[in-house]
Amino acid sequence: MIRVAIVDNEKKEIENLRALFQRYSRENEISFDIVSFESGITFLEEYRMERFELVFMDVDMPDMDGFETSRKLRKVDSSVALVFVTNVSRMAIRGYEVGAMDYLLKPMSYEAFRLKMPRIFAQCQRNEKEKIIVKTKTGQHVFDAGSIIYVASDGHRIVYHTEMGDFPAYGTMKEIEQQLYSERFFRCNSGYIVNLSFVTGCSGNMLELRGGSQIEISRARRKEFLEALQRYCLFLGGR
Amino acid sequence: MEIFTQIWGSVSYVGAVVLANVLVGFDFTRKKGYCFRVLASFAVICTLSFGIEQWVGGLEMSMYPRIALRTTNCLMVFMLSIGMMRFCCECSAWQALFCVTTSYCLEHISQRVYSIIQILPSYHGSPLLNVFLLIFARAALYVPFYFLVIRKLDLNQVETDNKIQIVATLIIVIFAIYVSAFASTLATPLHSRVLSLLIYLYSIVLCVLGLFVELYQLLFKRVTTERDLLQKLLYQEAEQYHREKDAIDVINVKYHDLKHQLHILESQYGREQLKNMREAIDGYDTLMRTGNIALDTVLSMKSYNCLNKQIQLTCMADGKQLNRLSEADIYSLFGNMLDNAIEAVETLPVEKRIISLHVFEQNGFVFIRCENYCGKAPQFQNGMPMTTKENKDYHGYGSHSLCLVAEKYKGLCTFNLKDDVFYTDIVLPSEA
Repeated sequence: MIRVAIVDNEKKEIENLRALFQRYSRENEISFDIVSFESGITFLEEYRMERFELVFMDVDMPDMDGFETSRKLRKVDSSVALVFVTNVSRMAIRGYEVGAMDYLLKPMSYEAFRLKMPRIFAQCQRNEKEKIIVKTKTGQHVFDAGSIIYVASDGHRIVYHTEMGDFPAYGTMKEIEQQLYSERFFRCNSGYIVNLSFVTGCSGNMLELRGGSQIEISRARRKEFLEALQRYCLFLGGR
Repeated sequence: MEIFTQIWGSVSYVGAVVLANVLVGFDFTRKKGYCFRVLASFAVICTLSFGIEQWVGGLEMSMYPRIALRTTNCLMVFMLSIGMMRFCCECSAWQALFCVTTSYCLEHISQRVYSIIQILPSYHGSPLLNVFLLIFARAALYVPFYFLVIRKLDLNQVETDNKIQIVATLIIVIFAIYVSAFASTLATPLHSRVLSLLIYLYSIVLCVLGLFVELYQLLFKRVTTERDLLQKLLYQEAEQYHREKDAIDVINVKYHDLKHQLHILESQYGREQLKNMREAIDGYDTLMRTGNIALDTVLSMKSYNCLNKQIQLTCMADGKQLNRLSEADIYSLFGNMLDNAIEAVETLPVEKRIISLHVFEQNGFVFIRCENYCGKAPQFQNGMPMTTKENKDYHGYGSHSLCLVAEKYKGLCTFNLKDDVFYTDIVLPSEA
């Protein structure tokens, strides 16, 4: 279930969009909970964090236009997925400035919707709170998969580096790799498994992580790393 | 003790050949159970080679036939090595022959270097020292050769370009092995160190020459022709870029002039009368502003193209992420990407003629994605879509060029097909 907000001053457009969602839902075994707003102002008044996972925003609205509404939305919620609906392409091309993922041109067609939406829905459905049970030396811990930064092994000892601190643990890298089997984790070399969402860059053969740590990536694994990153960021899915 | 020496002789010889085969063929796609296959091949070749050695040793015959038989043992190992390559890797017979001739040259050179050290007057080696010396001689050649030469080879080019060279090297190698086997038996170090030394050097030179014949084309010629071609194409693209940029500037100026005049006219005549005219020129406001001039130009050009073909091109692009790419590369990258997409959708029903382009930054990497419907699913080869065009000469150059530009910036280009949607994806590190 994906919770969607539609912000559009024209009732007809809202109905059009709902129809597109319904058809997509029938064809793809995915369900939506849609709430619509007829102006940016009422939308912002009623907006709360985590109420929606996806916002469809008309660009051309009286009073407060879609860009303005989005700028204000971003002050409250920096991560909710945002898609513009617009008559004119040249307005929306800079949608990335307010963190929009894409835009649909009016009149909206189902074919355009079906082409563009899979990436956006996959982003909404990504479960950051996926739990992972880890046997550490101090007992069993339950981590959010999204809070593990990387796992390191020096051949004898294994350490989970998480946002809550470091936890030495039992097991072999192979077991841990299987346990962390998810497109979010990548094995850089024999001693490191890294959470791709913490990667902030790559220079030469070093991966830079949020918080300043660096992990070496072997030449042979570099291509696989880029592939894994594409899968993770663009939702390519398995081949 | 003698039997051990003989076993060591076979094992070290076959081992050196097998190891060289593995190194030279390192980039081939490996069959399932690769390690097992290699070890099994090693065991089989070793046993056969040792068996023949023993059998020949037990025969009553004069010296020349004996040397001939012994040397033929080398040739058997050679044939079996070709079988081994085909058994362990996904490779053609020519590719296998290429690998085995290369590894024979390597093996023979290192073997002869070892022989030369052994006949040096100052060398008095114990059997154990000999073993280490041999291993060292092999390693000293194999390791640098692997890193400096083999890694730079594209084994896929072997078959198309290199057949004559492979045959030439094959002849050289066989000749070198026979001559040095005969000559070194006739002129034993006891007779004449100098003569032995000359023969060893002679066969080393032959093998080096063999390697040179076989690898030169692959290492240098290939690179230059490909680079020339790419440079030429990039140059043509850059030329075209400047022409198109001028054209777009002109259209732009005209568009704004017209718009301005319409505005003045609007105040004199009724709005309705001018509505049609306004709509007519609105189509030309396809000018995109992304924050990168080269990208703006390609997008504008291609969106005129799309307008004519009733293709809906949408683009959400953070152009400044591309500022570290050269104009020519941006033009080439997006030009080829959009040309591929346009070609794929232009024959589809109008409602499916949609191309969606994205450029955005995430996790310190720049992602470029193009999504479009495609009618006839292309065949993939090595992750690259094959051209659906008739003319295979220019086969998939666009896609190839995308990959080359991506690699130039240490990135990656992939192509994926899901149902009837085709995805072209490029990821580039934000900085070099």
